[in-house]
This record gives sequence, C-alpha cells and structure tokens, in this order.
Amino acid sequence: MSTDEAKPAVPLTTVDLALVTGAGGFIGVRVVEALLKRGWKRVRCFVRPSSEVEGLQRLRQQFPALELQILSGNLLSREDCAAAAKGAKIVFHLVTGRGKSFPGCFQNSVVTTRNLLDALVAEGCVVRFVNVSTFAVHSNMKLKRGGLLDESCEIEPNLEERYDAYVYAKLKQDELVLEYHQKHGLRYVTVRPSIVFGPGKKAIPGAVGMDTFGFFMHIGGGNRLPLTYVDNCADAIVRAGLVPGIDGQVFNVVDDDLPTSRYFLGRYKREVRNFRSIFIPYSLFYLFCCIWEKYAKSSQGQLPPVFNRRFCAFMWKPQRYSNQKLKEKLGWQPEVGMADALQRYYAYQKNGGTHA
Amino acid sequence: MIKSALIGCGLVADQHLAQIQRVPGGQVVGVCDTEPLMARQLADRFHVPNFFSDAAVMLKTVRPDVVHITTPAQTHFPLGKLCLESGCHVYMEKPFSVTAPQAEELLGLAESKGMKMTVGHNLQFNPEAIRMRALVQSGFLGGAPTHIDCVQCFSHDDPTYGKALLGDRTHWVRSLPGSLLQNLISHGLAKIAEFLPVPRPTVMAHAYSSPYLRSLGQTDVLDELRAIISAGDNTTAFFTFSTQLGVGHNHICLYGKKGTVIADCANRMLIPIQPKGYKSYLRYFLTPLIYAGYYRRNSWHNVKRFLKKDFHMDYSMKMLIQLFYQSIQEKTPPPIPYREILTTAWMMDDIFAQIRKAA
Repeated sequence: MSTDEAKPAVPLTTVDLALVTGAGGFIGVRVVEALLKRGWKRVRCFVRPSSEVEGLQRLRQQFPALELQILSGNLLSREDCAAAAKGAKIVFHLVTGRGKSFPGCFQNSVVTTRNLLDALVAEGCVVRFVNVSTFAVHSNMKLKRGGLLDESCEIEPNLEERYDAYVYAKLKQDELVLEYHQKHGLRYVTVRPSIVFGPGKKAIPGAVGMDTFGFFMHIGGGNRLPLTYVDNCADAIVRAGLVPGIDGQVFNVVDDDLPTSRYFLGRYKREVRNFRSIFIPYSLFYLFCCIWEKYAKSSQGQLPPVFNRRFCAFMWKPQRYSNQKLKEKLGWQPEVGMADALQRYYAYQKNGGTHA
Repeated sequence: MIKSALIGCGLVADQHLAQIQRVPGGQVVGVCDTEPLMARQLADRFHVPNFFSDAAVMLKTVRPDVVHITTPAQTHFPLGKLCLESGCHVYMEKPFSVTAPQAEELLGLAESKGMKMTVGHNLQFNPEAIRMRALVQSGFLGGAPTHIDCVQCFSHDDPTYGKALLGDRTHWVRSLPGSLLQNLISHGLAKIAEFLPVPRPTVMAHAYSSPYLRSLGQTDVLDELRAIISAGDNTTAFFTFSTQLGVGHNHICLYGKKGTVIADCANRMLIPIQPKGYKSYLRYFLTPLIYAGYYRRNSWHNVKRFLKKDFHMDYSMKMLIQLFYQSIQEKTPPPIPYREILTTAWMMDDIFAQIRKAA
C-alpha cells in the first residue's frame, strides 16, 4: 500500500471531524473560521498551552450550534498527538517551528509532524492531511529576473548555502509527509503560502526590506510583493482539504493585484508611521551578500552566513508569481481584494497592532 | 586526530559541532539522540557519517575518544558514567550534574579510569577571561582577590530558551532541583570558583521570582538570585543573577590589595585599574582619562582580533574544546581543574538547599 490507487478516497461530509493544529495562531484561527462558515460541524482546535485562545472562544460564541473543541497540548508528546488524532478525518496541519535555531525549528516542525502522522496512521481514519508548508522552500537561483515563480519551480537544492532554519525544517517536513504517503498511503495535499499578511501581523514583510543594521534598508524597490491576505490564505488551505481529486498536489498561495514593494512601504509611511529608509538596489545588496558569504566561509563562521546569495535572490530578486493552479484546481478566488486587504492591514498597524 | 561523538542533538549541539570542526585534528564520528530524527538532522547538516538513537550502541560502533554530552542535566550522571566506563573522555555541558555528590562520583570515576572530563563553563575562556587570568597570575592584584563581584544576567525574551521554558510547564529545566537557576548560574559561579582559596566556601542565598514572572503567574520559577560567598579567612564574593537588567550585564570584578580588574563578558572588555597616587584634584581630572584609554585599547584589541579572524562569537567554546583535546593528547591536566568543577557544584547545592528551605 504505497500509492493513491491502493486506498480509494472516502468523500468527506460536514459531520466528519476536522483537526486544525496551530489553531490558535495567526492563520489557524482563520482556518477554523473558514471551516465553520462552510458549515463544518465538528472542528477540533489543537493549541499550545501558551497560546491565546480568545479568537477561538469568540468563534465558539459566534457558532454556538457547532462543535468546536479546543484541545491544549504539545505535538512533541505522543499522548497529546493521540488525543488530537482521535477520530480526525481531515487534518489541517499548521504547526510550525520558527526562529533562527535549526534544531528548534526542526523539532517544532518535523518531530511534531512525525508524531502527529504516527498517531493518524494508528488511528487509521484520516482521509486527507493538508500539509501547510511555505513558498520559501523554492529556489529562484535558476530563474531570470522577472521570471515566473510557481509550483513547477525548483525546490531549494542547497540548504547549506541557503542557511535558513525555517526553510530547512519546512523542506524536511515536506519530505516526511511524502515518506508517510509512500509507506502508509497517507493522502495529502501541500499548501505553500507566500507572505501572509493582515491584522495580527505586526512586522513589515522582509521582502520589503530590513532593519538589521539599525536603519531600514529598502531592498524590494519596484518588485511585486508575493503577498496573500490571511483570510484568502485560510480559504485556500480549507479548499485544499475539501476539494476531491487533488491528492499529492502542491499549491502555492499568492493573491491577485500584488503591490510593489515601493508602494507598500510608501503607503506604510504615510498611513502608519513615517521613518527613514535607504533604498539599496538589489544588485548592490546581492554583491554585499556574495562578499558576506565568502567571508563567512573563509573566517570559519566569524560572521554566520545569514546573508547569502540564495537568501538574497529569494527575498529580493524581481519575479512574477502565479495562482493559476489554485484557481483552476481549487476554484479559489481571493475573497478579499488587495485594495481592501491593504486597507485593513494599515488600519491595524495604525492602531498600534490592535484590531479596530 | 581526536575522534569525537556527541550525545544530545538539541539547541547547543550545533555550537559544539561547529567548534569541534574548527579545532585542528577534531573529527566528529557520530551523533546520538533518543529522538532519531534529531540525530539525523544534525548528522545531515554537519556531514557526520553516523547517527544513533542509543548511546551505548554509538560508543561501541564508532569508538570515540571524546564524547560531548549536551543532553538535559538529569541525564548527565548516567551518560557520563556510561561514557567513562566505555573508555571515553567526556566534555559535559553545564550544569555538570544535578548534585555535587554526583559530580564527585563522576570525577572520581574519571580518575580511576584514567579518563579526563571537562564542563561547559566556556565563558572562562573568552578572550577577556583569558587576559584576566594572565593578569592575576602576573601579580596585578597583589595576591589573591580580597573580594569578587560577579553579575550574570539573562533575558526571558531569548527565543530559543527563555520563551520555550516559560511556554512549557513540563520543560525539563523545571524539574531540576534549582529549576531555571540550576541551568544557568553555573557560568557565573564557576568564574568565582576559579579565584576562591578553599574548595567548599560558605554561601548565603536569597532568591525570588521577578515581577515579570509574577505577572505571568509563574512563581514556581525563581529567576532572581543574590548570594554572598565567604571562602577562607579573607575572600568574599557577591553573586547576582538577574533577569530584569537585559543581557548587557555580564561581568566579574576582582578586588585586590594593589589593583582591581573588571572583565566585562558582555562587551569583551578588560579594565585593569591600579591607583596612580595623583594628588588632590588631579585624581579627578586624570583618572577618567586613563580609564578612557583602557576602554579605547579594548576597542582596538577587539577590532584587531576580528580582522585576524580570531574573534568568533563562540570563541570560548572553541578554546575550551581545543585546550581539552590538547590535554588529552599531551596527557596534561584538563583546562578546568576538577576542584573548580566541584566548588561550583557545592555552591549550587548549598544555594538550592537554602532556597528550598526558605520556600
């Protein structure tokens, strides 16, 4: 039993139990909300003990007739995984490790996923596993400036040079899910959101620039930003769980009408907070990253290779992005248009990171 | 050539492997973690040829000369014994053991087996710590220090450790007798232990939960510690551990009859102060200028070392590993004397006993 053909898909109905891991997070709450709005009657929300569950409690009040379970635990615990997996037919797996630590990211992305998959395999009733990965696992080193970055693009082949703990962990998570598909016939769909933004996310996206050296370097220039508004992203994730006949497929999630980095920053400065920024052309910053990377190597890590060519290219090389597959196969359309999404984002930022 | 292996592929393991690979003759032959995925990822990223989920199997299979143990402290004692009995030298991450008697037993076993041990008090091998040691040995203080003041700070904002601990009520650090303090204070206490004239000083300790932890309702964790240490008939020390001052304060100050020396570990500075005997107002006018010179020289010293590519963030760990490996190869005493390891362990035991009693 190692292929899709080995196990025919069982159609899902709205009374089937849906499990959402990372349900207390930025995207997780919206995924739960999207499921409930679609009439899903039983949703189990798995949250960390330290998570704030106000958003989920609010949903519970909003949808009193539906069964919304909030289960607190840690996916590093196999007992907690067994409790989470019990009876789950569809799983939206959003838990992820973040930060700069490779073992930390790996543990919270891969070990947690393995524990959950083991529990699901043992439970034996999961019909679809939605693996929420990231757009950042792609490499655009072989793409020309202005080239199209979509699902067919290369996956990062040189993780050592990329030196990104999050990308490393997410790629290993994807490999693990594939392994469970091959060994246990797990039916899965992978969703790779681009930069998810919206109320709840305070920082300016890194693709616009960064303030690592004490001042804001605007590197994005006239690039289109690969953004997806959080509600649109959640909708794509939910569709990836419910649409039949897409097992094993990968979907990148990016909205329509993407703004340029310059527009995004300019409007941020006008509507939220004005601050000084220095524009650094991509080619200049790429050169800086080349030098930094070489120095990191020759000095045996006196400076860690955090600035490197692969990272720089992925973040700031001008590309085009596609959501064609998402629209064609999942029937997805961004419900919140970009103009409205940006308006909501800036309003949230203007209120000091609180919901209006 | 020294064949190394590592047990415990968590947060600190990356630092160990990166530094072992920089040590001349260092070669990592295997890594081990009870979680096979963690062992595999470490081996994958550092190109280690073998990974294991059973320490005994690893020791038999790859037969390392040295084992680095970077597991939770509760496992240090059994794993240390296993490695020593398998004929391996041991680099133990701090804290060396959960209790001082365990430390005594491990060090005794090492001696009986002809093996060497060291502990991850690597901050004692930072550039400024090495310079301070040389200065004290040259007689700058005019003898042993009369008083020592050591301040160690920690921030709960630390994403890899602080937040993980506070967010997880079952985190292994919480089950240590000294909880958070036990996992952190050995760095500061070891710096003091180096300059104490007796192996088991008298300690008076006071600990409490910071307002931040109280606001989170986490009063089961103590994160503020003040200790007064008295050793022999003429050496005292103050030790402060705080989570309220940011991470910018980590220093030790040695006061002697002839001079004072401050090693600022947060900024890698060494300030040697000796009274100049200026009269009247000259003291107020000239002394600050002299101090300014000390600070300027530190800045230049650090820049020079950086330009020579000899100023890594993990400089101290590489130095400790290198000195430990050298001591094994040349059959010389290990870089951290066992007396210091034991003194640190005893001070910790005394502190935690008093905290428990007070609670």
